[in-house]
Amino acid sequence: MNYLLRRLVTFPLVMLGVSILVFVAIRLVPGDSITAMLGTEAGLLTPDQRQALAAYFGLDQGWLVQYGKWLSGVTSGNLGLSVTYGKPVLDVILQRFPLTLELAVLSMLIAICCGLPLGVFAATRNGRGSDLGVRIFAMIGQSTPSFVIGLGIIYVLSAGFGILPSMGEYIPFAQDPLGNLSQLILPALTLGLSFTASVTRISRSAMLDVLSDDYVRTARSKGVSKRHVIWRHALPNALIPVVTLSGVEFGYLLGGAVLVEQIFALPGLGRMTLEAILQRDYALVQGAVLFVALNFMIVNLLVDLAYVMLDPRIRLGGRS
Amino acid sequence: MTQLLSVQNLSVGFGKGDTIKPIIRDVSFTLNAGETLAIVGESGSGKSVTALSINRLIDYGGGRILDGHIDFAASNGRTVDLVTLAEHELERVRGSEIGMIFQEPMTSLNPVVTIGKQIEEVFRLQGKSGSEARTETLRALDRVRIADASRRLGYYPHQLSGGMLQRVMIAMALAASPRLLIADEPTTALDVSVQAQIMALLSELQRETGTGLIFITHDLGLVAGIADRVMVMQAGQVVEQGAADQILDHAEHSYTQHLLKAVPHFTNGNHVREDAPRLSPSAANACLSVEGLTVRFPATAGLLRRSIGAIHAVESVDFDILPGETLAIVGESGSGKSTTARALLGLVKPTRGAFRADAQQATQSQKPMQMVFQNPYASLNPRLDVKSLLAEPVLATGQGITKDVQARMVSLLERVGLPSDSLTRYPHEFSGGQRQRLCIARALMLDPSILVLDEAVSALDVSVQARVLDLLIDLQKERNLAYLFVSHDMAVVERIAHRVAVLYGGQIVEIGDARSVLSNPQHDYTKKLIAAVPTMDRRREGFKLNLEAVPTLLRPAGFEPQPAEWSTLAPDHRVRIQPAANA
Repeated sequence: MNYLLRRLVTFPLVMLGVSILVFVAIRLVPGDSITAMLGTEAGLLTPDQRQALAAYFGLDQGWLVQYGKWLSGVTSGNLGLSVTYGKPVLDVILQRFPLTLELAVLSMLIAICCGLPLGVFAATRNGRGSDLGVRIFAMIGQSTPSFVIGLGIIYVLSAGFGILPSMGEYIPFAQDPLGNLSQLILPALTLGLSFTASVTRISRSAMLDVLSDDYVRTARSKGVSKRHVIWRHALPNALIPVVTLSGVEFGYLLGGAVLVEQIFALPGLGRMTLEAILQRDYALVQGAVLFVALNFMIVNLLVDLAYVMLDPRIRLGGRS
Repeated sequence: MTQLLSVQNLSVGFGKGDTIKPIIRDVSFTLNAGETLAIVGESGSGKSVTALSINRLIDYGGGRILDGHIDFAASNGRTVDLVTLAEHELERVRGSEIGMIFQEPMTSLNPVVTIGKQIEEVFRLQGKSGSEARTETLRALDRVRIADASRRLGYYPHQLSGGMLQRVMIAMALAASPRLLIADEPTTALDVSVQAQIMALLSELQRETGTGLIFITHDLGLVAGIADRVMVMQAGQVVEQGAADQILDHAEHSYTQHLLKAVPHFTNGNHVREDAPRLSPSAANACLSVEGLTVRFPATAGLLRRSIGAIHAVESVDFDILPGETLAIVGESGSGKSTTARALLGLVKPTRGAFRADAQQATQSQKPMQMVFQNPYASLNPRLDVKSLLAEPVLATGQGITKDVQARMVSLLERVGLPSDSLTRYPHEFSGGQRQRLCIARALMLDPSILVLDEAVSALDVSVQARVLDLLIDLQKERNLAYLFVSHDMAVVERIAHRVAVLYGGQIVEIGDARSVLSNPQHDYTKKLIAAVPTMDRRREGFKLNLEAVPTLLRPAGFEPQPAEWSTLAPDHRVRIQPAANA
């Protein structure tokens, strides 16, 4: 528990570092938000008008002042105003987040439900044909880019069955579960496939390690059945690498999956962040990155909690 | 007596298809109910493969039974051939009819399941209900003398010591009252005194239950203590078997005779070395002298890691070693023997105390002290060839690899008995004994005056062990080397030591010349330690149980132990005066 407390203390420090990095990085990119916002019309602005706009958005002050103002806003829960949307940054993010979260959860569910059993199965049939099949599947799943998988799925469905995935405005699950799932199942599958492939590979290798451990032999010597040896004795010991990998992948997905969102025309966090960067929407980029960083840290914390639950050696410390 | 097990012409191979390589050939033996058969051999002799074949666990290790029968008299009165039995029937035989204990208790229990649950599982497999299984589990732990059993049920393996875990293993193996118990080197990973405990427990439980026992070991001393019959294996074949007394006293096969002769047997100090430099009138000055060496590690507890005192790992240790002399440090694990060695080499920082190490007059080596570690498999970098391995200590002192250095490499390799083409080879091309010779050559590269040997022969096979010991003794005589020899193996100590220091709870409790200490131990702990060593003379002695706990080394902050008081028995034999029992 002490360890988790210490982790919590590091949260604000990491956030501070992330915010400084992104604040500087976005400003080092050539171009400014006023030109980006007005497009070709920006050429028509007089220097005075441009000056006035810059003053309105607070862009005329030094970086340090801008950062200080922004930071004091953040500490009171105000992430600033998005230039492109004309709305508070937090509102824009929270509007996009449910879709991204749901997509991430769905693809992780697919990955765990398919990848773990596949990996365990392959490990118990090490070296045989079925093991080879699983390994080839995992290799293909991991090495095929998501846009290829996504486009492939769309092509097969539309050319073969005349079905087009529903795109556009996000339909919340609570509002229309079927509509929501029909909207998200294909992108979730697209993301889930490569996720499944990584989970398969890691669970296979972790199981292979564990199956040659002494305590597995002990369990067999007790007369424990094959199935129980695998699921009760071996699997709990093989879960730690699987949890680690799933946590990292899930954290990435929470930052938005730009390509898949683009292909399926979904309004998720990834596309929003990309557009904010293209638009030099400083406040939105900063807010989004901060939000993603926070999510990542929360996921890492959950992963640590999972370690504690899975392994008594971590829970109880060393020899007591 | 009824016959329990009959193995006929058993051959087991590893590999697939046409490339199957037989590992054991034509092994036959029988075992009666209540009888103990010891299978003896060195690593690679096929004794473990034989054991794992009996309950067919070998199937999971990549092995296959090629030929033969294993007839087992099951409890329902039928005799089954385990070789042809189907897997689901084997699952019923394993555990309930044949129990098994493995060598490494630390890794043989599932780390994420409490020991209670692991024992309980056996009872559940017998079809017992939840509460019944729990009561039986408690009884099983009581039976192996684990105190405070109801609390220990909730412990995870990492919370218990190796000796405790081996008791849990025994409880588990005996849980279903099997008719046959197979123990595969059950005490090899344990201390001598813990070993005696485990042996006592095994023989007592066997007497109670009438279980047939197959006991696999490389230690002939243990065989003498427990076996009714002995079977000797070499390179996958049985070379000799018969009644224990017959084999131990009148071995016929040359390999058995070799084992009996080559293996160091403990003889209570009757076979110590006679060339002690301390006794000669022209004794030189000590080349290593240690005064008041103390190593303490801070101990913390709780949420805020507040200090709760210190672990007094080594406490005010004094000794000196003359050139050409071996001082053996003995004691059980946790007694501080390795910490002492490490402190001398600067691998841990002493809290207090001083030591002085002198280079040999002739060489004036910059690093007078070098170390040889226990595990030759782990202490050589697998990516470096032998030449680079030998060059390392020289490079570490800032010297270049000159012609002289290269010549020294070649002559040292030759001296430790390695082929001259070794320089360009890599560690994995050598056997365990050869690797340890390499480690010795590496330690000698800088012409040290003192070698610290930390369990340097413990990981080696018995006959290899004997040859490496001979090499060490020869090198000592040639080079006038001083050895600090850390070991838990009294038989090895008797063979190489001139003097012995007994460490207990971080303190020397007895020190003196080897013959005197080993044959006439005075301190209670030394007596206990020596009594625990199995010897060839004590046959089926019925090891006695001792439930005394090991003292804690944790002391409150600022604690200073009483200065030691010594009584002198002989010119070179001192014993710490023990405080009265109630002090």
